[in-house]
Amino acid sequence: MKKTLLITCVAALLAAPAMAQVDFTRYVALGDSLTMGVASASIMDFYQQRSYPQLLATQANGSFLEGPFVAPPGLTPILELKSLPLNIAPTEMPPPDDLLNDYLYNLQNPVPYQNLGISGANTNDLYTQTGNAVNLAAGNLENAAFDITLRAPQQPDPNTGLLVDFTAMVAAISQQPTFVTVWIGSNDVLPAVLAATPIDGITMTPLDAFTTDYTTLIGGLALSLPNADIVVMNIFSDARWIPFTTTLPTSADIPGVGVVPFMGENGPLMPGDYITLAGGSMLTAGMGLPIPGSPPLPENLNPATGEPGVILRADEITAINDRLAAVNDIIAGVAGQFPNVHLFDIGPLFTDIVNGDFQTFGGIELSDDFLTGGIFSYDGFHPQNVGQAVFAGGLIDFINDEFNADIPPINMYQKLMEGDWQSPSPFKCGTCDPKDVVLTRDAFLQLYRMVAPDLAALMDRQPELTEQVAHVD
Amino acid sequence: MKRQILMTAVVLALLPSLSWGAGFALFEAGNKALGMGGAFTAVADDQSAFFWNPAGMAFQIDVGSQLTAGVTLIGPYQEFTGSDPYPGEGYRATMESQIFFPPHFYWSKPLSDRVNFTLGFITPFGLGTWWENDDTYAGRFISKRADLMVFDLGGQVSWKICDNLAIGGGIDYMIATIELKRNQAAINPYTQSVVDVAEADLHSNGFGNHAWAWNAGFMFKLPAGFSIGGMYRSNFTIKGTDASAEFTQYQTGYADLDAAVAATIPFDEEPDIYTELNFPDYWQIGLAWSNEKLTFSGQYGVMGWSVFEELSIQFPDYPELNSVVREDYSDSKQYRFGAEWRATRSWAFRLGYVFDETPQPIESMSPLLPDGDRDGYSVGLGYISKKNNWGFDVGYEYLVMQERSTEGQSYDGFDGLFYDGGANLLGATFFWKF
Repeated sequence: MKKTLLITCVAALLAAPAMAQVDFTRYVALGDSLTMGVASASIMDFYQQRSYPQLLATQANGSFLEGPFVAPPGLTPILELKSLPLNIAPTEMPPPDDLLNDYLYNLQNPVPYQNLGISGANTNDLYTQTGNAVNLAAGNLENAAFDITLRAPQQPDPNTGLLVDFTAMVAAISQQPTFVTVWIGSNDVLPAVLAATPIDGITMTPLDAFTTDYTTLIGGLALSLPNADIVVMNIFSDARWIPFTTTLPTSADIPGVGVVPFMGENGPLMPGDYITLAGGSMLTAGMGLPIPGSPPLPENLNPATGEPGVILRADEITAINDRLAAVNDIIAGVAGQFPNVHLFDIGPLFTDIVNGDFQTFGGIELSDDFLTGGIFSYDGFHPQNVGQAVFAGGLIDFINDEFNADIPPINMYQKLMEGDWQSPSPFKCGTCDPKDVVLTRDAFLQLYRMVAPDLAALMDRQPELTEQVAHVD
Repeated sequence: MKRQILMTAVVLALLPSLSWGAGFALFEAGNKALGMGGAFTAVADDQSAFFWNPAGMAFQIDVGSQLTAGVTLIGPYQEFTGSDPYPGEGYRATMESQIFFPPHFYWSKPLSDRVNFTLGFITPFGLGTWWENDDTYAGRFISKRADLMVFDLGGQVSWKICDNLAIGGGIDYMIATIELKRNQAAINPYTQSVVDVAEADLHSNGFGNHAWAWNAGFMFKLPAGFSIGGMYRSNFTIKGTDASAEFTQYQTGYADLDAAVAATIPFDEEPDIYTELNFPDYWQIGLAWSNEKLTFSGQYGVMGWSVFEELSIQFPDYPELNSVVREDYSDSKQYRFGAEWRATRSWAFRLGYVFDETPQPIESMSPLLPDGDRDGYSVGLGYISKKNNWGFDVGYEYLVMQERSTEGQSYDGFDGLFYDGGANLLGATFFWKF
């Protein structure tokens, strides 16, 4: 009998490595717009339900993550490509009339959402900010991402019965998840890219504050959920990984003059400098040319008005990248403090994509190119559904390695052939007036409000200035 | 879009495809040898000695001049089932039925009672793949259809040094013809999904892609009916200087996208392509035993596929498209066994078996060349006239390719299991002696 028992034990041990060692019974995802599934500067169910947390859940155990789903045309109306040359603007499709039943149709779901990605959230927001769906009913969309995700500012503590602020972190812990992913920190640095200006405390969260925020958030989760496995992801480590930074040319070929660099307020563009997509409408309006009568491109954020710059100088790229590296160091340091926290370094995955070393799918090559690369959406910042699938694939590979699990890969053939939210019948606006612009100002501001809501709010309080700048469209 | 064109070059680099010997080698140089599993290096008693062992011709001087013509019909087949991430679990594809017919011709004439001269024409390398529903199947961006043929036009001299020892050797003029069709993929900026924007047809022009090679062999007749033979065929490199690409545009339904594609891909010209294809050397050594009625033979050999490490593809007019592709092939072994029973003076019956190891790593497997180890089982029939001045050989081989998975490691990102692969080979060779 002892021998039989021993053999059984040995067999069980040998069999163990082939079995999944991670429990997805209750999976909760925390994060920002990348986790929420934002694409083309909009929150829309098509992309929310193809976000990496949903793909991970589907692959792990076929489960469906509830979230604050928004029907087309999305919140705010999703960007679409009107024509080529590039003309990207919000769709003109009207939202459904019935707010609760047709537009924000999952708002009354009785349970906390499992996808707690909140567009615009930085690390601090996840454990301090609450939401209130009443604001939506009143037509106030200023804090819409939090309002549709968290819905009630306070909820009773299941242990004490006392009302507590219902933050994303509280919402996550209240579900007693067995598995948690956290991808946060991008909005602590990347507003510097959107505003083309790295300013500590304004476009970037100071490092000491980020350390406190990240430690509070991750430590709170790790200690409150000692039996859960928590996977944290670091953030992009190079401002040039997104087409928002790298797409536009920095010089123009002027007949009779030749190739000349565009002009910013501080002089001509030099090697290593970039014009962000926010400058696209300005270039097509004739700004930035080294000829009389052409106003220079705005360089930097105006902290008083919130008006962003559109030029990232080489030293600003360096400053942002240094900050990204420092943030990633903090993320790694905090993750290392807790035994149930596991760090997924996204760097190699995105480095491969940017360097053209990423695997092909049946001869189909994906890249970080704007519009034709297949990864990024029309805002040049957020991934589209294929990009989400690529990221989910990398995450699945990590989980399989880290936990000796066997989560199957995602069917990329299906993703690559699926099309976008309008497929197979694109919405025809009918009244569109195609304009020869890269990204309309409205389109950029939509993105700006999602990623840097505080700065955009400054602009909203300066309607006269906004009006002045808008005339370049 | 340039990346897509680059992928065309990548695909061109993978030109070798499903063939009937491991890698893309062909061994159908004669149907007597086919019936004996190719275990013919220590036998080499017909004009297919041109391929199997040039020294063998020296022992055929006493029959005078010879002329041989033959063909082997080859019908390959292959099934595929996909896995995630691409083309996805449960995806299935089937190879179209095709028949290929590599021919062989020989003429030989004794120059003296010890020296023989032979001219030969064979097809030592070839392939052909064509997948069903090629405009919609998931591998269309790698290959829709591929054909490669390498013809060998050679001359050999064989010298019988003494009654039981001969050597031989010659030179080979290799000519390659290639064609590959595939679709061009792009991300449709309007739908953010993959769309077919063009078909690329990459092909050689005429017979301008050639190379020289050489071969040698020996045969030693031992007492008691034994013989030992060995042969070597050199490697060579086909420098594809006479090849070009032809692009046909597909309409996507988005006029401005089509215009953008048209501005990027040279639809109105045939850009030149330059590539280099390294072909392996090949050596075999065999032992045979014969008496009046029976012959048994066995041999071992290696193809030096490790030369096929990478492939450089160049577009002289579009240098930004140049690429180097890893192949990482390894040298591959072969074991061959054969037997012949000469039932009557005119009729003979043959059996054979070959194990042909694949040189291809799983990472290189693709719709272009899903290779695997092969087991071949063959039978044959021979007839020679009573005057001993003409005859024919018929051979059949059932070649089974062992199923093989890419194990998620495909360089092309086309993963799955290639199964039910193989080929039926049926051939006839006619010869005259005069």
